[in-house]
Amino acid sequence: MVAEGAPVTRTVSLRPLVPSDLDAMWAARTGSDAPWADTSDGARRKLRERIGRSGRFSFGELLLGIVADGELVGEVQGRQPEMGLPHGVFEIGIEVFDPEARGNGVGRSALAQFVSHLFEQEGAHRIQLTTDVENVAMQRVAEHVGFGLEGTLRGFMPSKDGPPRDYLIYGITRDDWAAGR
Amino acid sequence: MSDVSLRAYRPEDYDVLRRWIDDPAIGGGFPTAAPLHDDDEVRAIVHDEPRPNLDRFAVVVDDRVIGEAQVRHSSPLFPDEVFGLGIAIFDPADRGHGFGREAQRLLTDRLFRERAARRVQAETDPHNVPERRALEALGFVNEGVLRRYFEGDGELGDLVMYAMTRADWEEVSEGWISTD
Repeated sequence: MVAEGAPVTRTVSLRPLVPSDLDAMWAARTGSDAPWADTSDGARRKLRERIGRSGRFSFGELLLGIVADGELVGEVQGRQPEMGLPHGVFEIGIEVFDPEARGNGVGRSALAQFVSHLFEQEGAHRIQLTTDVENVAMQRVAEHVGFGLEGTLRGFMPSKDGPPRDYLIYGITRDDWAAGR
Repeated sequence: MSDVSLRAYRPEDYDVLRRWIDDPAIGGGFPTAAPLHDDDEVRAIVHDEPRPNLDRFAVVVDDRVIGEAQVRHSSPLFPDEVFGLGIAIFDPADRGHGFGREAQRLLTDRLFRERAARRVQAETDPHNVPERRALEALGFVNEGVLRRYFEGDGELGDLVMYAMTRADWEEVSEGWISTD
């Protein structure tokens, strides 16, 4: 158990994914209990294609790997689908799929680096993310990086068994980010 | 009140859509940053050419196209069974008669009845009081404010999020009389 607010104990960086990352990412996917984890036949091919596009905005998505002490432990995604979000607004997602990399500041560091990248390099003026109302770990990470809670999207996400899930929406503006640096 | 209906666009709607589609009055000064539409794009819309993630309908009153209703849907914009609504009434003279609210009601009802909607959401400018009143009167619930959604001058740019869940709809639509 790591105390809340514990310092980052590992060196964290972001890098484009490469073809040799496929097996590790697929293993993480098939071991995931996340409701959106697609392990169908076509999903592995799609994952390979996404890895091939990693490192640059393509089809409205920027995908990067999270590396902790030299090891691939997760991914971050920034999305700006056509017709989905205005210019300069990005929706981001983060997944730390190595359980050993959770709870020690890896996700927080990766998210902070990704947010800075989007504001500094990709022309963002607002970044948003959504997370399940019960995903307290994600909420803490978001708040620590400077995101503000903006609302509750009721029944936003389907669940495999049970009623649809409420999701929280968080946002960080360029001004928030600049003030927190 | 005159009957409001929704229908697919038709080629003969070209002139009215060309007249209004890029008119700044539609957004009420709301900075959408959307590029202007060239004639071919307007033609594609009135020929009802399908686009991924977006359906458009003409809002009709007394055989006159007075506005447009939009539905955004599907990955990567939304999870399955979540829909985003947008209504624009073209001519300012056609506002204030409840047409937009009725169009919103018809479309919302259709999405829950025919497209298995789980959640229908509609975002608007927090300063757009008529639209907020219309959404609240229909039973949409204010869920929060997305700050600086549009990059604009001064206060413009925030977005207030309204939504109706299937459970909300089952409750409020008992009082709705379908004219569809």
